[in-house]
Amino acid sequence: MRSKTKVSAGNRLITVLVFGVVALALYPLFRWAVIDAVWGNLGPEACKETFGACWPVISEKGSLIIFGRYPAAELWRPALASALLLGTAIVTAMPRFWNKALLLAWIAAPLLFLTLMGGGILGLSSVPSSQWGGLPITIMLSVFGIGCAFPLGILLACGRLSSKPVIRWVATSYIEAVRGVPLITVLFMATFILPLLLPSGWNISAMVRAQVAIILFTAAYLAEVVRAGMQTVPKGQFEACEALGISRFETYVKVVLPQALSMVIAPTINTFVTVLKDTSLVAIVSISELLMTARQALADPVWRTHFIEVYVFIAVIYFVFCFAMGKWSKSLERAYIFSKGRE
Amino acid sequence: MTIQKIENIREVETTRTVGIWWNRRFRASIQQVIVILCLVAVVWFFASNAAVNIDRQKLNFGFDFLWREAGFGIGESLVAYSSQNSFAWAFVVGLANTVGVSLGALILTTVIGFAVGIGSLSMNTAVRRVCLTYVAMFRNVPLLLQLYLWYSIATGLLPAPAGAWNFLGIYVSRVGVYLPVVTFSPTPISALTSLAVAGAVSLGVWWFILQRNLSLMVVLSAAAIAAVAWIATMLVAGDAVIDLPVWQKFRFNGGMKFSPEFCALLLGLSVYTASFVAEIVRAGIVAVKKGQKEAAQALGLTSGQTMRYVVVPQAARVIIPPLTSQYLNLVKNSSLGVAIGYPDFVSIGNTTLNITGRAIECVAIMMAVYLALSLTISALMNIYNKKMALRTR
Repeated sequence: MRSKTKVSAGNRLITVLVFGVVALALYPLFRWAVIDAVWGNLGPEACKETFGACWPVISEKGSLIIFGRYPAAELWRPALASALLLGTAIVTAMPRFWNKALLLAWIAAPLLFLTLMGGGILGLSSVPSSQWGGLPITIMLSVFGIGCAFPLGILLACGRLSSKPVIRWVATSYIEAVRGVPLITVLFMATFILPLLLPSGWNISAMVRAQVAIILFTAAYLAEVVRAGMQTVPKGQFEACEALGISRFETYVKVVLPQALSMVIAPTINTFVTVLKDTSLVAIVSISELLMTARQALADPVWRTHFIEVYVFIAVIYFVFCFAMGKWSKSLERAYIFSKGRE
Repeated sequence: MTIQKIENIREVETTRTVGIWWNRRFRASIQQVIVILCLVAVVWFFASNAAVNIDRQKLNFGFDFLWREAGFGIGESLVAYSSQNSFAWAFVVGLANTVGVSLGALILTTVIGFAVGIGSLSMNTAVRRVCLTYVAMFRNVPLLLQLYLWYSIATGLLPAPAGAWNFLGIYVSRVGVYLPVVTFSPTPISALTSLAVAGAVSLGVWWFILQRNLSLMVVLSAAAIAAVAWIATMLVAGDAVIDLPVWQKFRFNGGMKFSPEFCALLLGLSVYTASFVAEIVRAGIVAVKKGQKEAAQALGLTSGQTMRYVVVPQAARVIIPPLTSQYLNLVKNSSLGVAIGYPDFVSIGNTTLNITGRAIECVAIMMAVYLALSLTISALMNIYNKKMALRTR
């Protein structure tokens, strides 16, 4: 279709026009971000002269944005903790590492993360979760959110497809109810109502309540994705397992789910991306994740006018993670299609 | 006789070796009873704690507060409101604001999303690249961050009202966007006359130019022509005036105001959701098999006819279900208006919660209303989907 010999004059004109418009739009942006911008580790006075971007705000506030109000002397701890969690997640993204050792890593990594962040043992000074903030919190909420919501979502999907009416009804109403309300109302529920629903002695930190809200919310969306996958698995697969005397549990884990999940790679990873983006909503209930710490940095009157620089900075961080997940989804799908082609 | 005996023995043996525990129906009922018991236990646990906590903290429970005077102001509302109105009415105002911004954003999203989606399949590389960049840029950054950015730009970078940008009577400044509007003050006679004129014009256009076609698009365009004709007649007759916003003594007078919060939310929601809609539209068009287009061309259909009668109806079937869920997401995401101070339903609920302390009731109202909204939209879209679905014999 797109043969290079058939470039018409109209097509060329459109190309020129598009380039013109894009150049007109991008040039001021480029001037702002690069040419007129102030670079380096300077004070706020350095930016008074220019209309360009004031990047010193990032070097000045970078540590606050990335790590929140974590004690300055201990910043290696959140850095190492995030690297550990992120490293485990990245290794898990590659199918060639899928083995039993990885399961152990998934038990170890969250424990190590919480130990490093919280301290109190092994000679680490204790840091309460109210002082945690920034990127480690965004990573924690996303990774724990996805990690816990995924099994729960699979259970819910099985429940919705169950032949037992009560279980089917419970799973279906949970999924539909959660999918019908915005995440922010679920977060309000975790913030304002959950303390009322628990015995007065239980003091669960706001962070944990938000994490639970994210898990419960995400599980409903993942359940629908998994259900869509499971419905593509032919009934004969179940019947064959039954005929072979394979237990119900093994039928699901070893036969149905591998087929079901490989059918819904893209929507599953899309849901993961949504979880990462949605962790920003906990800023509304005052938990210091990345967006919240960026806004805390902007509360400083000296730097307040440089909001675009700060927002662009964290937008780039979110973009890198989300875009990488999108690419991962494509490569997983390709790997799956390739192996299917060999059958 | 003997056979019966043997069967009896066998039955006894089966029950003895396997046991009722292995009976499938028995196990199913037991499992379901356990699920019900767990649910009841959880609900009882929460309810009893709530009762104790509400009692201990000297809180009240009940929806009676809804009829009390709200006492707080709402920055902008599509329906009349004052702080003497009840909390219930404040909720209605919030809902109207949510519906208003959602409707606007739905239209804008559809326009941008379809344009970008079709553009990302363009033969022209430059157009394609721009569209794909748009999609990648906006779908990979959290909506809340985009809203904060739009809102900060709207209130921080736009000119002060005295130096507002003005195109064609539209004023854009950091206090909001002002649009000229047409205001009506018709007398019964002139209203009837102009209605008759508008009706005649649109009927004439439909009869002679649109060839009495009864398809949805044609009827809609005839209605649009009628509306334009009606406003034009009213303007000519002097019963309607164009109300231009004017900057007078430190404030704008006249025109229609859109607050920076509304504009930021409308723009943010539309631009963000459009990136998802564009992907859906693109996937839908790609899903139509190439042979379909080639067959249509071989039959002598023009490219416009091919699009209209062959590609679009088939693509629509692929597009509508995911499009529905994006529309639903948009309505739910409009709740993020609370973060930038737009008085939407969640924002009003949050304010009411802070004033009255009725946490359970307020969050329950918010959830119930969104649930109702979501179910309504999905029901409407299901009807449309059924109409578009493939009819097999």
